[in-house]
Amino acid sequence: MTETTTSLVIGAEIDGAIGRKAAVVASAEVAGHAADKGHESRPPEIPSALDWLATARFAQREYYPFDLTAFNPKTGRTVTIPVRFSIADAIHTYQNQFFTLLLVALTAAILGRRLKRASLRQPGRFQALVELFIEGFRNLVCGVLGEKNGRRYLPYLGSLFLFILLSNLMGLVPFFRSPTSVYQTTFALGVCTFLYVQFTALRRQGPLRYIYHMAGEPRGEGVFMKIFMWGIGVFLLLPLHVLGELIKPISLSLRLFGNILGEDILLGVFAMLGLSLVGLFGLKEPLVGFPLQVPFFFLALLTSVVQALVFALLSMVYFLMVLPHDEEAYR
Amino acid sequence: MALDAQTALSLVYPIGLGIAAFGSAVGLGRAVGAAMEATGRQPEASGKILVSMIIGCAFIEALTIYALISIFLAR
Repeated sequence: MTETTTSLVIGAEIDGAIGRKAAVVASAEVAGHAADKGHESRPPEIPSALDWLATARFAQREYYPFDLTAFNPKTGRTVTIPVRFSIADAIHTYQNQFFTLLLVALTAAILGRRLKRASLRQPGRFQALVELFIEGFRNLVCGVLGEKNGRRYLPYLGSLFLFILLSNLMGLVPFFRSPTSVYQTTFALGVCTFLYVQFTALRRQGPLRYIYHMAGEPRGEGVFMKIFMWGIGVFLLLPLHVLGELIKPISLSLRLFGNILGEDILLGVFAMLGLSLVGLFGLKEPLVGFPLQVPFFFLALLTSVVQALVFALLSMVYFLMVLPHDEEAYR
Repeated sequence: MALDAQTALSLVYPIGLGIAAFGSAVGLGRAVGAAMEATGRQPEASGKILVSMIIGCAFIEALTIYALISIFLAR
């Protein structure tokens, strides 16, 4: 019952103000009561192009190295919970988000292609508009990271910001769901940032200095002080710092995921409310409902932009913390 | 009514979420208050103050969102 509720909330979220597909979902709600009797009557699933992609052999295989085993001391038996996943299942479950992800990539590629023919002397209107945004973002990045480092890491941060922004905004288009509303996408983004930051740290500071920094930079005058400080550094501060570094991608990804999924669910709940409000006037399975979720579009817009900005800004700050400090630019 | 794990979690989750929301409300109130005070002192910097306030609010809000999504992770 819970799964039915959640899926019909998430199923209703994205059809914008029209809510045509919500009719299918509303009938699924009626059918959800039928599901309690054991008879699953959901609308038939139409296979999509992504399902065709997922017919590849390597996608159909079930990868199961992740079985969870627990030993029950009372009975002396080992309980195994099989955790199986296959790529085809993942694509099928999240096919809307996956498709939207491909759409975002396609949009970015087309835009990039068009801007590759940018001209210095006769910029067109589109180029001028894009340059406006890029210059604003570039000022932000160079203000945080300094001029030289800012220019070096601007491509990654700009792409990150643009991708997250576009992905978040796709959730407002009817029939689409944001790719960032599944934890898989945001986790991947967090891992990308984490890997790039650690690679930067190791490369720019050198591995020895990196470990030194992780151990809290222990310094001491005498031999005893040296040993003492290093001991504290390695045994207390090193695990703490390592944990702090590991929590960064998790917090980044969870923040983005939670905000975007929460926004989508909010829109879905109000869309369902609008539908059930029409039910007050007689129609049991309305085709369209009152567009009660329209005021929340603005909140969703704000959240999308702000969360993209926060992700990019935090990544900038992580870069700032691992880059050599004496080259920092002061505002 | 049998008090199994699922029922207990369903009872306790809203309380936990309320506590998280209370904490973030206190933090957000302070942040927005400080932003308003700064705007009052220097109205021409209100654009920058607004941007900084929004970014700070996103961080504070994220902590409540963590509590919220733990509900979806448990189901």
